[in-house]
Amino acid sequence: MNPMKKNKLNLTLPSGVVPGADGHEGSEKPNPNIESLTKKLKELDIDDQQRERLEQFLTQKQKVGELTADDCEKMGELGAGNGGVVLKVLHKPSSLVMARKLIHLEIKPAVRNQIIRELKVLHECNSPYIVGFYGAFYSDGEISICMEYMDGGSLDLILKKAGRIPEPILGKITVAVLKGLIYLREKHSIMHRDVKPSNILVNSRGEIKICDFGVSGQLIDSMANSFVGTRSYMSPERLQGTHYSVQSDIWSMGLSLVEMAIGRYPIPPPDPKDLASIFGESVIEEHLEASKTGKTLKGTNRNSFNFPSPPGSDGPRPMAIFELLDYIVNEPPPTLPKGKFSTEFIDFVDKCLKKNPQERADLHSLMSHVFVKKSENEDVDIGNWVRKVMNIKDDKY
Amino acid sequence: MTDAENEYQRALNEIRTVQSVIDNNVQALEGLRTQCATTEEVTQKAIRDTESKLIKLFSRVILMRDKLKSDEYPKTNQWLAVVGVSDEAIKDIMQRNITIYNLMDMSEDGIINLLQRYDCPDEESKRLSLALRNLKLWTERQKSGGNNTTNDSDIELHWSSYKSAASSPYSDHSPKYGSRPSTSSLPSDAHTLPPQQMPVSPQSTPSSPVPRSHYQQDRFRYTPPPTPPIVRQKPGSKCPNTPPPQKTSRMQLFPENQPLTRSKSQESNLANRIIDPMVRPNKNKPEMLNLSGSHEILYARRLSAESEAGGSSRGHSGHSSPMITSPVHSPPYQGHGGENTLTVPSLKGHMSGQMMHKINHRFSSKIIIGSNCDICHKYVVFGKVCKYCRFKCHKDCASRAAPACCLPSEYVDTFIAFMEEQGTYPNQNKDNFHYMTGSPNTARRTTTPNLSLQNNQSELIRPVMSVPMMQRPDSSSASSCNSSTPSSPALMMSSTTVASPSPGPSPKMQSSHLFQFPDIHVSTDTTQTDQVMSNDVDHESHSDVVSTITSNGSDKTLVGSNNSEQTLLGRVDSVDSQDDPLGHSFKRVNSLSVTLKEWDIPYEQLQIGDPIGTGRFGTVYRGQWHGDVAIKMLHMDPDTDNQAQLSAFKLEVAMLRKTRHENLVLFMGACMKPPHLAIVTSLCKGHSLYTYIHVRKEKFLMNKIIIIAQQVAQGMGYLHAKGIIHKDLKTKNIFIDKDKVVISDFGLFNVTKLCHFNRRTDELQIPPGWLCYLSPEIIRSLQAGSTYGKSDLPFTEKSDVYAFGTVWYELLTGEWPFKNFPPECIIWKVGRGVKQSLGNIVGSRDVKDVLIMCWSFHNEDRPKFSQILKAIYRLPKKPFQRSPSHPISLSRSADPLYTA
Repeated sequence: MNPMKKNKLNLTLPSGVVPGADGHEGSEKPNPNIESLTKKLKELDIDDQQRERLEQFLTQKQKVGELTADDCEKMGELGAGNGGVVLKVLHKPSSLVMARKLIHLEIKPAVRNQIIRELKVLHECNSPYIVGFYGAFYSDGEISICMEYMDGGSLDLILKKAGRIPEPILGKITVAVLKGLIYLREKHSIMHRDVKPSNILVNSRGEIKICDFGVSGQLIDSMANSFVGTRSYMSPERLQGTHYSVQSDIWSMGLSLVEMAIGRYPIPPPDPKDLASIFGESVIEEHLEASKTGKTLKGTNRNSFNFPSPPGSDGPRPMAIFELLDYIVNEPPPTLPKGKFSTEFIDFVDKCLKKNPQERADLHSLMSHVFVKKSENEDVDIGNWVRKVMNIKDDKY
Repeated sequence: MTDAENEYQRALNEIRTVQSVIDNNVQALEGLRTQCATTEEVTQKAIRDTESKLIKLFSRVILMRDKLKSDEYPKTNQWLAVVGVSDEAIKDIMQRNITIYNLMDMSEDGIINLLQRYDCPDEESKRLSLALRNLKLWTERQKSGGNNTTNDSDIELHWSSYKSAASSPYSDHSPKYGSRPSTSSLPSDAHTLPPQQMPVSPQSTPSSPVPRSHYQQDRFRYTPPPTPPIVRQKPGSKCPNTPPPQKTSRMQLFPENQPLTRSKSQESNLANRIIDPMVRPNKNKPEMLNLSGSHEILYARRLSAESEAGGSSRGHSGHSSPMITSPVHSPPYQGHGGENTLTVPSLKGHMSGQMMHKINHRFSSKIIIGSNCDICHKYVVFGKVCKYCRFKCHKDCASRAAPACCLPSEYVDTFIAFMEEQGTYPNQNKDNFHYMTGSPNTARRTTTPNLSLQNNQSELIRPVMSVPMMQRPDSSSASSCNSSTPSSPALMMSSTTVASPSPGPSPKMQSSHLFQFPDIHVSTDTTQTDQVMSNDVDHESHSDVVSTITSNGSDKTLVGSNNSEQTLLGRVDSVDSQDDPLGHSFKRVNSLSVTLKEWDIPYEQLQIGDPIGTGRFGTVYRGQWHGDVAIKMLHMDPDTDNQAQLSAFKLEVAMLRKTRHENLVLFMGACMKPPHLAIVTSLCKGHSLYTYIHVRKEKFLMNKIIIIAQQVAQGMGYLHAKGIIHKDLKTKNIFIDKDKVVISDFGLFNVTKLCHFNRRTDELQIPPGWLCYLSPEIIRSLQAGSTYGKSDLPFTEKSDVYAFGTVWYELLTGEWPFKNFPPECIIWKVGRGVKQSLGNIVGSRDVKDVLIMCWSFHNEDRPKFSQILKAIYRLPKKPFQRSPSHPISLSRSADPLYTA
């Protein structure tokens, strides 16, 4: 079984043209649309580099125009995800490399058109923390969503490669995800609904972006098949079918962080002894080191884990799905092992993983959390780490 | 509506009824000819009998032609076919627009010439000529009013050239009874009797006397509105000779309590006699009307008499009647060959018949789909079905069903035991039961004198008899049974003796039975004729069952009648049993492979068309294989062991081939050569319930919902009875073909484990809507991960019931439960026992109760489909009223039919 399958944007394939990095920007006259977008960008709390990259992306997007299936030439497969495959394609007219997500839907034209219409909201989602959107179209029974190609792939893929993700990197990830969620919430009044490692993408430029948020209700309803995996990031209140809100995304983020920190899905919780054996004494230093060098953290060898193994491996019998979900609902929430991570980080995830959504911290209080503040100011070269971990040749920087 | 229109309408209905009767008889005859050993004397008799009946029926239709001014009936091709003309000839004759009327006008030579064109053997044309001649003869006779009963009995109406009645012992007596009618016809009744006699006599054709009489008896067995003798007397000296025997038989044979039954049967005969005038053809209409009036009065009187008499009414009434004093005594009774005693033996026969039929039907209300009322032969939707004998009819008709549930022998003991346990059923009846279901052999020990008696009796009864349906193939055996009864003393004795020990309960019980019937009768305002009709039909279905069981493998009896489900099933099983090692022990792979050969469809023979859809196990294609079929091609997993796959697949196929039910898709065969594994079924026409509900968003009315649910439950109940668990019941697998529900894809779920589709180790693929059909215990077993969990899920009958609950919910609300909830959420909720709120169901508490039952968290709390059926049936059905089953309204005009 291909372990990559789960990864929607598997970036192990040779990275082609990285959008926004090809130096062709600015060749077209700025049009009013761009100007208005640029204006919007100014309202965002982003640094110059981020703004520049966004403008660059938008400019390139102008060249794309109407997307058609014929214009897309398949370069490779990035992975199969919820309800579809993701291809790496070359958009021939613009020479842009894109990620094209295909969703097979047997639906009536009216429904299909509604989906395409709903997806247009994505054109408005321009943020350094949101994966860029080129457009969506329908052909041959499939909805195609063309997105910015992220050469680092998704975090669940990275996690597989790295075993565990060092805390400083997780700090940066936390900041990016939080900002992305805040952006969606404040600018577009939408919640993500599906925060998990596989929906957080990274690239060799060090950008961390979220994707696959529930922008089209119709699309969600129309998805032919759902997949339920060995892991669920759904909050307890949502599992119980009660009202849920953006707080639910926070649970999902917290759970993802724990998973990436300890290198395995944290439900049911690993035996403390196992954890102890995984983490060495001087973890903090090790993490710092690893975040710079991309070196694998200690104890990330799968075999040293004496509990249900990551997907794709032959581990002990996994929990039944219901068992897992019931654990989330009825058992204490997962937490990070004490002493192996910074207290700020531990506190942060604990605040995210309150079972009661009212007790759970909200987005803004998390933004002002010590862990976030610390991470924002930390100087970590994510791009370097990604390149190291994913073996991406450092030929562009 | 004008009178003329009414008249026309009535005639039309009438003629249709006759046509349906004809159809039945033709079918029966066909069965007799093809499936029974025609060398058997009994069969021959039955054939002759049926033929005679058909002649009369056709003649009846011909006589009605004038009213209808249409040549549509009788169906010429049917006539030709039944006479045995070759298909090609029929085709051509039809093309040339030659009707039965033309044929009748043709000379014999003309007919021979006609048939010679088609190279028909002489025999064929002779047969046709003979049949036509008989038909003409009979028709003429009817037209002329047929006063001469005596002569009628001499007419041979059949056309088959089996050695004639002479071979049968009964034939010897035919002259006797032929003469008998004259004596029996009571002068006092002069005005009423002649008409009645007329129809009677023809039936006593020498060739088929016995079946006739048997038939009558059978019918009466069911009919018996227990008229106390008093009634009989009222008409006056109508049947001077009959009463005494009645009395005698009662007194002597069943000194204790039994007489009731006997007298009842006797009376029923009498009653029928009285009715006869009504039954007479139209020409006698004025008379009929009078008679019917008087008859009703009689009837009412009889009822009142009965009710007064209470349980022992028979006895009392008997006493009050002058006949009590009749000198006849039981021991000699057998010897009562004499005319006076004639009725006795038959009574006896009847009695025993009745006794055994004293089991009331256990009607339960049901939606019956795709079948006709056993009484009025109209399509039934909401009806009643007898639990035991599967007798089914409209609710309205139920009242006219004789209280005579004919149990298959294996149920008799159980039933008796049950009754005894409840203290309601007397021991002595046991014998009667057994008698009834007993072997025909005993019955055949008929002695000749009795026969003659019987015949006489039969003549008296004849008019009623005319209902053609009696002609069931089994009639022969049954008839012998009945006729023998009177003569065989041993049986009698045994029943008497047995009866005596527990005299107490029996009268009570009987009386209740007795009363019930007439009451109902009156309330439904049916005429006597109707009743007779219904009884006939009733008898028919019953006798099917009986015959199947009683005829010990000789099976000349059972042929084309499928009114009783039980019979059908039984037959299916027996057919199946040839290759059934499988059915019972699947492990015997050797025999399995042998059997499966029959179901193997070479892949090359399939013409595969467009894909219809992709299922969990593969792709479904439209295709051609002796007509439209659906081909489910399985995607084989190249990685797994082929041999294991194949045997698993074959096991599934072995299951499928056992399924034969109206509400299940027809399994036609399978391709069993890897890599082409495919299952071929009939193509489901119409849309799936899914399409109706979720795509077209159609809202069903409650009555429609009930009909659909009922059929689904029926089909599922059948599957479970066959030991098959559907495992994937969902609206996508339920098709609505016109008004019929067809369930598909049963048992295929396991096949999915053979298929490699999108197999992902760490995720479980969940097709839309699938989860809400899964019961909590299955939900809790769902696994993602390397063990591809689906195939190991704990499916049971009860999980099918849960799925049915979801279908029920969808029908009611047009939505899936837990709509818009993510799968994880559904899994947790269902696994925890949280149910979809029923707030959006518009319906009564009962409607929701069905859901609550089916969705019970613990599978042992979920009902069986049989229980669901009952529950659904009890639901209030909104305005779905069929017109009252039609014999009620048509009875008058339909009457003459049955005299023919």
